[in-house]
Amino acid sequence: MTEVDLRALEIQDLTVHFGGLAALSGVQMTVQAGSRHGILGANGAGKTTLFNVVSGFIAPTRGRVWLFGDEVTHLPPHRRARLGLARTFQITTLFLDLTALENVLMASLVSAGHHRRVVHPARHDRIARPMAERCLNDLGLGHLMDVPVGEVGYGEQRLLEIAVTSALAPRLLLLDEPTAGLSAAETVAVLDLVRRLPPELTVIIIEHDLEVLFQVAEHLTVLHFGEPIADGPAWSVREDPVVKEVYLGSRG
Amino acid sequence: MIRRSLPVVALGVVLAALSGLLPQYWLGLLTQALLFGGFAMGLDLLVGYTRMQSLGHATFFGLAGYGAALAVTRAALNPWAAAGLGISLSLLVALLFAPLAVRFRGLSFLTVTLAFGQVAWGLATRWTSFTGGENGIPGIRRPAFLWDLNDPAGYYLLTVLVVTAGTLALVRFAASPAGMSLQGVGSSDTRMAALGYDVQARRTVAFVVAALSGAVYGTLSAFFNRFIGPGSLDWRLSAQILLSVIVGGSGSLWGPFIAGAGLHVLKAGLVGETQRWPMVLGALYVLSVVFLPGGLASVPTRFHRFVAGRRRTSSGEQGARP
Repeated sequence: MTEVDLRALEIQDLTVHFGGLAALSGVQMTVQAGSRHGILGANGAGKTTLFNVVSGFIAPTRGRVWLFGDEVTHLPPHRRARLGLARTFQITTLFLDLTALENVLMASLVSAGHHRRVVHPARHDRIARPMAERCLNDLGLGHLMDVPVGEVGYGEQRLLEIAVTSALAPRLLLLDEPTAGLSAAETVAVLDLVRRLPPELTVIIIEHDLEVLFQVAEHLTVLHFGEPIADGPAWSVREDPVVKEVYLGSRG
Repeated sequence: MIRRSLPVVALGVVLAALSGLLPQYWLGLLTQALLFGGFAMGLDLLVGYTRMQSLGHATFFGLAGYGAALAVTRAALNPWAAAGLGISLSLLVALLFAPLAVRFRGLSFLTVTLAFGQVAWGLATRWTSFTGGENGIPGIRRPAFLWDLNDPAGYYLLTVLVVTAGTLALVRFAASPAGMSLQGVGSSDTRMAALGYDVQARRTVAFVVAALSGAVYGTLSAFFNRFIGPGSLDWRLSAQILLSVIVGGSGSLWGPFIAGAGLHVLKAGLVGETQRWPMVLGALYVLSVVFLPGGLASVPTRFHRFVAGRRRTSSGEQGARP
């Protein structure tokens, strides 16, 4: 019983075919609650497909997925979100025509359980509003409160997406290349933020840069053309000869 | 909340005061203008918030009118009960159709709603024994109320009352968490699903609320005209209302209200030229898309920018355009 409770995510024999192409084949993975787990792989290794299957946006060809001990293989995305799953996207996915506050409110209204209310104004919700303001201020985005997100810089949009997911108060957070396209300074800011996430929160991060991943993940899974070729503590994966060969080797 | 409600109530009071000042013809025109304004505003929730362009919303306007008309004339029901029945009929049809319609997006959604509307229109024109066919149903008795509704000023006052109440309810709903979630669905349904919102359910809500608003105003319109005909189910009415939303500035609520009312007045001004109405509508649409992409609702912002730009150039700065 306790063992089940400790697993935030479990994946068995996961296979996804797009036409004749196998995006993922036979992936097994277990992520312990509270851990920081990295998924490493080159472009086309199947990292984002894996996230899409875990969050319910793509149905797997074969295999099963459990979140916190509950099987979710056939649940739609919104039902998985309600179980405590939150994610960011490789391409920033926000409400560009709404303000930063409204973006975060959309999430904090769900955690407050007020997202079905029809009379009281959303902006003045007594629980969700302070929650949203706290999220924005914690990430140093308080000055953007009333700015439409479409007018905000790309780096701040990436941070904002993390603010939105954290307002959901999730138990498992999936970050899809959170530092992609960011400057060195912005990358530091995002990694800093990831390190400051609450320790009880399970975080899975996709990256194609091992050095970035090594700074935040204690456990790594390496994907290569849809197949896991290594899985274990970060230090051991880094020394793994197969990983060195197929992944690091290409960098000379 | 008061900030949003107060202008609506104030406008309602001003409109009510007009009942003692305007001649009968103008009161009648204004009554209908208000109905179409309210109808367009309700559709804006679907078009501007959820970003679903329906070309079949006259269906819910007309169905409610037909329901009420049949109940009054064929079943000799009390007009209030008949109104309730008409609105319920429209609501029921919306509830049955919405789960199917919301599976479609963009142009497919537009086509499905258009086709659905044509079915209702076909029934109304072909089932002559029941619906009166092209001749429609005349002789719809108006209900009794605190004041005389057979008097043009009396009916106008009832309309002002309903439109004010309907607008207050809609504005309040639009600002609520549920209303904001409709904007979220229109902006990014992927993000909404990832946050735990049931996107299809939210789309259904937008569809049904817009249909309900159409049903209320359709019933009011039928009692106003004491007549209902297939024109109330015609796709051209749907197009007129959808255009009102676009010309008014979708998502602003007040813009579509003004455009909805204004387009009706324009249509009434083209008496004898009704054949040209679709052409006028088309020309207006093109003009608004080319010269005013954000619709009427974008006028205040444009004006502010224009003034700010002039101030900057007159003080010798460069880059007047923001």
